[in-house]
Amino acid sequence: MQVSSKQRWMAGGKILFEKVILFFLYRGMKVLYKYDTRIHQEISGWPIGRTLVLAACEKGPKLCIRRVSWGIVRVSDIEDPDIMISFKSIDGAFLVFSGQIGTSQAYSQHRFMVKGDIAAVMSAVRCIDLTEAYLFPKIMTKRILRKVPKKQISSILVYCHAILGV
Amino acid sequence: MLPLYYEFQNSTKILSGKNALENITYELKGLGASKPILLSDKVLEKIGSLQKVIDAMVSTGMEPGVIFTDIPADSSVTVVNQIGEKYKEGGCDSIVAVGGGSVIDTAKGVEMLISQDVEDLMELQGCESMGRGKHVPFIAVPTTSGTGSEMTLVAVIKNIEKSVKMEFISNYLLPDAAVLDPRMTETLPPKTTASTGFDALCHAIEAFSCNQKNPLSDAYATAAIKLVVENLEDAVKDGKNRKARLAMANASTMAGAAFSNSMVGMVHAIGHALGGVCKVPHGDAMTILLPYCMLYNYKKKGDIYGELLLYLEGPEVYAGTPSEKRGEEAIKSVRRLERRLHKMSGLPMTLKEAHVDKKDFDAVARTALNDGAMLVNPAAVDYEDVIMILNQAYE
Repeated sequence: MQVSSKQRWMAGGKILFEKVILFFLYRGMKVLYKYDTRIHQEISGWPIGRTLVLAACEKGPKLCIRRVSWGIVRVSDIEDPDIMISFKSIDGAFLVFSGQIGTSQAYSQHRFMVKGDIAAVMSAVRCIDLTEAYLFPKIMTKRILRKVPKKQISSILVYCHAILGV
Repeated sequence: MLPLYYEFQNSTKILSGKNALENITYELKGLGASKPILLSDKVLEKIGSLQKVIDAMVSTGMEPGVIFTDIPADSSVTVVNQIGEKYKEGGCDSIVAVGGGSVIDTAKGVEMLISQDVEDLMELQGCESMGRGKHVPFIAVPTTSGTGSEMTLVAVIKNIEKSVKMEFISNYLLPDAAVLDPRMTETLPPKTTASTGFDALCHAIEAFSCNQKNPLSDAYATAAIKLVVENLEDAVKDGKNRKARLAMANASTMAGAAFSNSMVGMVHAIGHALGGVCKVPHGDAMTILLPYCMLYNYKKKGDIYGELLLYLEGPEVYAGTPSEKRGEEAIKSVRRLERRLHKMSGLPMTLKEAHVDKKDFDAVARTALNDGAMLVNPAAVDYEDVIMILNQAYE
């Protein structure tokens, strides 16, 4: 049985969008490790070598991160990560990546499953929430975050650093 | 109002009331089991509660294959592995757990070990990440009215060697049946009755207010609150009052079903940390923290507790209270119940009374922030907020 072409196009669009968001999420976190004390503190608390995978769904786009002595690096794939946050569907992931709901709401709505130590997951979630506060406009973050954190650097600078990769 | 999306599962069959224990054999046979492993602890063995279950099972034609009672107060992976071996050696085909939270959590660990066929439970840590696996018939007989563990999809098991507390959240951890027999709780001393009963109340109130709440969990939560309010003091006054005991067992079970689907929030996050860092008994921590955390959420999120006044104080008080005052009155009502229980049983009301040292506040706050329960609390909570609540609750 085949899915309709409309569904196929929509899924393709969502996957592309999620890839872009995952790119900025990683780059944003990397930049903020340098410029936001809270993210620096969170990531500094992770043991060197910790691996984290954030997957839009089982076979969808994913962000694979490894903790290194100078922060975090993105790697192409991690087979057995320490922490795995995997959305149950592309559509569930789209709700979060498009800023319609936050990670807390996504968890409440059973949109993703988690493998690994829950305490370590909480630290990763706090980093994602903080990064979202910089990447998304305030009108969106007010809706998706339970508390909008104070920015320690402007969002424009975060985007500039993220795009240039410096 | 319906949430945008919610999930609810409660597949556990409830056997509640007179001679419930005598139906365990029938349930096991129905589940295709004939040789259960019976799990409990030394205290329950000593006071005769375990014998009541054995009598009920043997007299109805089911003899346990193995009886294991060396379960400590905190379930650990070593004990789970030890039981797993006994289960296989004894050729068992099902589990009957008789006890409080730690016995039932240990049983869930054994169930995972057998059904998932893994070497190390660590592989299964996480939330909704495991499949059903092989079905192992599992019956829980709670002996306290508080944890609600017989109805929850959560298990917490310590790995002492690696000094970590492993958390497992999966719908496949739910027992097939929960047996609520008033004979199982009548020996609980008044203070433990009050403390565990307050834990049940806390489960219900947090289930009603946390972000994962839904119409079905609300129905269980409000029914549980009503039962606690009507029966907890009677059960504390007279432990032999079977009507009150059974009502409290039902309240705990209903609150368990509610929070298993709607989760618990900051009261439990801070309470777990107080237990881990300062060894405060769970029920005592819940009693002390609940009003302060309710007040915190009320100030941040507005009137999320107003409707609860109906179940806490009844229709007369609810109708006579202006709608904007109901949330505040609900918090006061919880505080009044706490004071009455304190007078009746010596239940601690402050962290000072629970022998908490202020120098541990920093460690408690840091641990609490890493608890998964913080994610579903209605209001965001940061380090300073936890410290503020701990200071308020100190004396």
